[in-house]
Amino acid sequence: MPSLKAIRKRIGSVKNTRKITRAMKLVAAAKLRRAQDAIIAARPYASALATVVSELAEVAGADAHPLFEQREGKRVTVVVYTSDRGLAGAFNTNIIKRTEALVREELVGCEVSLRLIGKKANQYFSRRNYQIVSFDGAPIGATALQVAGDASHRVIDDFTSGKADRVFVVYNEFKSAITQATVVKQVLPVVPEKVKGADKPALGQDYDYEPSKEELLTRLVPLYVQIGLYRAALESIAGEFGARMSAMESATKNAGEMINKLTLQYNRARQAAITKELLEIIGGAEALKG
Amino acid sequence: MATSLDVNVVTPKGVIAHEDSDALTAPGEEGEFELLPGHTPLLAALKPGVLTIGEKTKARYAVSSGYLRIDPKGAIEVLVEQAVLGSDVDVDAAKADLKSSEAELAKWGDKPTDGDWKILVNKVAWAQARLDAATNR
Repeated sequence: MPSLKAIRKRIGSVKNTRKITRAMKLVAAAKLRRAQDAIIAARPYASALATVVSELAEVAGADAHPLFEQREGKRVTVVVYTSDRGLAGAFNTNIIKRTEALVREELVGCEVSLRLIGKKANQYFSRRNYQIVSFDGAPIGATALQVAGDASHRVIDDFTSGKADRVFVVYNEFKSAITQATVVKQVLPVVPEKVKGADKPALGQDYDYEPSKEELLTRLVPLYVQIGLYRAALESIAGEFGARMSAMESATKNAGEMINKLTLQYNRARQAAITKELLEIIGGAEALKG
Repeated sequence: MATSLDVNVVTPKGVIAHEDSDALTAPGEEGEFELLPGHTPLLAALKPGVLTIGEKTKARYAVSSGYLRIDPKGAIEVLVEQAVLGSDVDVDAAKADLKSSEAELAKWGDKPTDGDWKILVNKVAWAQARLDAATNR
């Protein structure tokens, strides 16, 4: 049985840990709100761009752009979004596991190269037998667009120069503050969404194009790729804070439980010590009487 | 016929401007052009430059590349990667950006012009657009 002093010290340290985890939870919650706002702010842009790209693809033909081209090749680039910091539950582990499963089970026989975003992915994959072409720090709200822009320029270049025949992105999708879903999405070749509702796209004959439709597609499809990666970055950021928030929440709860248990143990030990002392005094008094 | 233009400037960071206006000047890929109410439907690519909304009350925005779409009802959708109001431009930061990205571009030399090169070219154009929007009034 540990001494009274040892238990007291232990309680003190657990209390400090609880303070830290509670603070981290609050910080994550505040940042989460901002990250969610960024996701919402990106929606009008993303939906308008998706509409234009799919309508243009419809009027110009599905093979109007080199990034639409479906190839048989076996070379694949995977963009992996993780975070720079841990203490976010299974956030990074899930991504790493999903990526490994993707490479091992779904891309059998493919030559896979990785473009990593976030230190955690780099720590894991750089020690194993993977081909890593680029590594960037995890995006924060302000740099997400930059990171996504750079990544999209690189993967488009990989695709057009023939270094990759398919490009995937793996990231955590933010479902709610407590749940994230690991998502694998194909970035390239681009598969334009079907125009919804109308049988004829709004971009009909009466539109002027400047420059030509095909040229416009050349400009817009890369943006479409970029916004896809940007969305992935935002989802990943929000997911990270969500995961950290719930991880810290349960850590705080566990610390509380541990404090309760230790306090009980401490009180028991204290009582036992008092009883023992009393018995000794009584015993001593009895002996003197005799 | 539409009598005014319903202008929406949208970026990934949100809707930057939403207003009714009488005219709009945009940096088209094939040269700057002006739109007035009643313009035929158009889909045009934009290059980094200055977008001006309004004939009398001019609001100047620095925009990066994207596209502009005007539909038959006079609703204009300007979709660009980045947009910032001229008076909000941080001139010093833009100048520094221009200098550093131009220097890097100059160092590029004979290396193949791959994705990283495009990133640099975009950086230069965007910095220039910001400076133009902030200064030439």
